[in-house]
Amino acid sequence: MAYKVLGLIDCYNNLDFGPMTKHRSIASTSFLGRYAFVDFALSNFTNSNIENFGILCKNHIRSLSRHVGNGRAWTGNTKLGDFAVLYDEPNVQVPGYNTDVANLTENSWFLKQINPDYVIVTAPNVVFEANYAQLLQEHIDSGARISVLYSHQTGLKSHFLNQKKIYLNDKGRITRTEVNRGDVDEGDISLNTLILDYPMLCSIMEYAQGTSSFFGISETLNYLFATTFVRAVPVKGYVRSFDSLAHYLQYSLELLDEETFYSLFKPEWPIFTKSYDTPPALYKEGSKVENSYIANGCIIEGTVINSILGRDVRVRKGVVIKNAVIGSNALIDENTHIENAIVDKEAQVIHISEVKGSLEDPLYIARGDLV
Amino acid sequence: MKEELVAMILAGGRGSRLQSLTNKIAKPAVFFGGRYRIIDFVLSNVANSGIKSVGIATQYESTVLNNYIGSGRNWGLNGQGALTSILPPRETPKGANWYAGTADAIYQNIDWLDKTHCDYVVILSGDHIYKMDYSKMLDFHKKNDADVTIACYKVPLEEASRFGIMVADSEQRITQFQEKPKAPKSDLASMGIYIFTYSLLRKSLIEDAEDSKSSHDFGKDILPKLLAGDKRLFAYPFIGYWKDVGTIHSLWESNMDLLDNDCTLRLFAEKFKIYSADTFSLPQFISSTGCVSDSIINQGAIIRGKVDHSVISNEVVVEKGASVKNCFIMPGAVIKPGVKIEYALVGSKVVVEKNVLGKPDDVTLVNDR
Repeated sequence: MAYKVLGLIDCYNNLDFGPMTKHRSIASTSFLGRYAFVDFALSNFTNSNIENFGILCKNHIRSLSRHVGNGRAWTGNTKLGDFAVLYDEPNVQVPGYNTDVANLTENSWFLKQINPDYVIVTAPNVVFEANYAQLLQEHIDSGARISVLYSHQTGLKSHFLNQKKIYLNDKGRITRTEVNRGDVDEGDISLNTLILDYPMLCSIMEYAQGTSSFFGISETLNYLFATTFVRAVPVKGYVRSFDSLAHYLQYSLELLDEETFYSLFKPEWPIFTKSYDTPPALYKEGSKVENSYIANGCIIEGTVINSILGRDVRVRKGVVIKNAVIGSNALIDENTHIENAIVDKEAQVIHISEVKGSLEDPLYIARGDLV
Repeated sequence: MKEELVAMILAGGRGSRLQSLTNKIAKPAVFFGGRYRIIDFVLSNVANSGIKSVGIATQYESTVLNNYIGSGRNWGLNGQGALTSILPPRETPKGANWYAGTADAIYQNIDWLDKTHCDYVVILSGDHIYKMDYSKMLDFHKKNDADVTIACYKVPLEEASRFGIMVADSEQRITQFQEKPKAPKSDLASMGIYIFTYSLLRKSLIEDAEDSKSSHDFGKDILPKLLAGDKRLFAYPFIGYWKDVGTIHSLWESNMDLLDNDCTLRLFAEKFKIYSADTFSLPQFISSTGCVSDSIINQGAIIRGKVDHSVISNEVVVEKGASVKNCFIMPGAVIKPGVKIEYALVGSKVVVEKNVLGKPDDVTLVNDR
C-alpha cells in the first residue's frame, strides 16, 4: 500500500452479551469455537496489508491482552508495523468520560509515532469482511474526507436494534442517522466502520473535546453530516452485529448453515487467531455429532447436535447437547441434557441433569461455575 | 553460551520405505496424527525436556522440512538464550561433502557443538513417535557415571530378532550388542537415542572420521568400538509409547494407535504437550449427513460422510455418501461422494474418486495426485 494506514479497533459503543461480557469485552469473547470476535476485524487488517494497528480498549483489558498478546498472529512484517492495546487509564473508573476520543487523546503518542496518512476505525462486534486496500483507494478517488461502511438489511425489527441507521441522498452522502428502534423492518445499518484521513481524525477529536467530555467519535460524527460530505459505502456479503446474548447464540448457530458459513469464510481471506497447540478432536465410539463445529482438543462420548464446541470440551457418555455453544475446557458430565444454552469456559455441569433455555432467552452458565 | 545438555537431531534420511510419501519431502516432515508432522514429537520432547539448543541435520529433500523448522518458534525453541540451528551439509575450504552416515552428520557439525560448550549431547532421530523427558535420561547417565547411555525399549522376545538388541547386566551396564540376532539374549531394543558425554563423543567422531573402513554409523561403528574399548555404556529402559514410523504400515498403525483408549502416548494429556505449527484452518464441521465414530479429526476438516476408526487431518473433505474406515488421511485430501475407503493411507491433497479396499495387514497407500 502506497499510503501509511493505521487500523483501529474501537471497543467503545459495543453492546454487550449481558452476563457473558461481565468480565470480558465482546472483542475477546469466543466465537465459533476457535476464534474471538476481534480476530475478524484484525484479519481484515492483516489481509488488507495494514501493518499498523491498535485496539481502543474500554475495559476488561486482561481478557483482551491475553488473546491478542503482542499482535504477532495478525502481523505481516514484524519489523515494519506497530501494534498496541490502547487503554484510557485515568478514565477507566469514570465510565462517562471513558470515550474513544479520550482514549485516543490519552494515547496520542501512538498516533504521533505512527503518523499515518489514513485511519480506519472499525468495531469488533460487527462481523463482516472488508478489503480495506480496495476501499481506501475508492475513498481517496471519491474525494470524500470520511467514508462510513453500511449494509442494507431487512429484519431490522428484531436485528440491529439500538444501532445506527443511516439515511443517504442519491449522491451517496449521509444526511442523518437515527437509532434503530425496530419500527421499520428495512434500512441501512452503519457498520461503525470509518475510513478517514489522519487530519480529519484529529479534527474530530478536537471537535469532540471542545463540545463535551462525553463525546466520542460516533456522537461527533452526527454533527458533521450538515457540513461535511460523509460518504456511505455499501458492504455486500455476510454482516451480523452481535449485540445480545440471544443473538450471540442465534447468529452462531445460523453459521452452521453451510451457505451462510461460506458467505463469511472465503479461501482467499483467512481468519487468523491465537494458537493453543491443542491436539485434534477425539470422537469416541458411540458418539454422535451432527451439524456442529467442533474445536480441537474436544473428547466427545455423547451426542452433539446443531451446536458449537470450544477447545478441550469434554462431552461424557449419555450427554445430549442441542442448539448450544459450549466454551473451551468445559466439562459436561454423564447423561446431562443441554439445549438452547451457553455454557461458558471452564464451567462444569455435573450435578444437574438439564440445562435448558430457549433460543430467545438462552440459559447461561458462567465461566468456571460448577453446577 | 553454556549448556549442560544439547540435542542433535538426525533428520537427513530419505525414508524410502515410505514410498512416494517422501518423493518431495523428507521423512521427518511427513504428516502424522491429524495435525502434526513427525518431527513435532522429537522437537516437542526437546522443548519439554528444558533443552535450549538444538541442531537438526537435514539433507534429503530438505526445503519443506527446513521451512517448517524455521527459527524453532513452533516449539518455543526461539526464546532468549535458545538456539535452533538447521544444519545442512556445507562446503568448506576442504571441499563439499554429503553426510555419509549418522556419525558423519554429527562429525561435520563438531564446530557447532563446540560453540555450545555443552557437557552432554543427546542424539535423536527425527522420525519416531513418542514422548520422552531427556533430562531424566541425563540424570540416569550422570548417576551411572556413564560414557554413553542408550535408550531402550522392551520388545516381545519373539520379535527381538528384528531389532538391535542391548544385552545388559543387573546394573543396566551394556555387555554386548546383538544386531538383529537369531537368538536374542535380551528384550531391550535400542531406540537410536543416545546421550554421550561430549568430550568422548568428540574424540570418537574424530577417530571414526579418520577410519577409512568405517561406514560412519553410530550403531555399526561408534558404539561397538566404545564397548570393545571397555567404556561405560548403559541401557536406559524407556517406559511408554514409542514407534519408529519408517514404513507405510507402521505409519498407519501408529495413527491407529492414537485411537486406542489404552494408548500410552497420552497425546491428549495437558502436560508434555506436542507442539506444532498452526494451520489457520476453519472450524471443523460435521454436517447433518456426517457421522463420526471412534476417530480423531483436526480443525478445518469437513465431514459430510461416514468416518469410523480413522485419523482425519486439517482441510480434509469427506463428501456425502463416502465411507472412511480404518484410514489415516493427510491434510487437504478429498474423499469424493459415494467412495468407500478402508485400511488406507491417503496422501496430502489427494482426491480419491474410486473405492479403495486395503487389508489390515496390507494397507493401501493412495498418493497419486
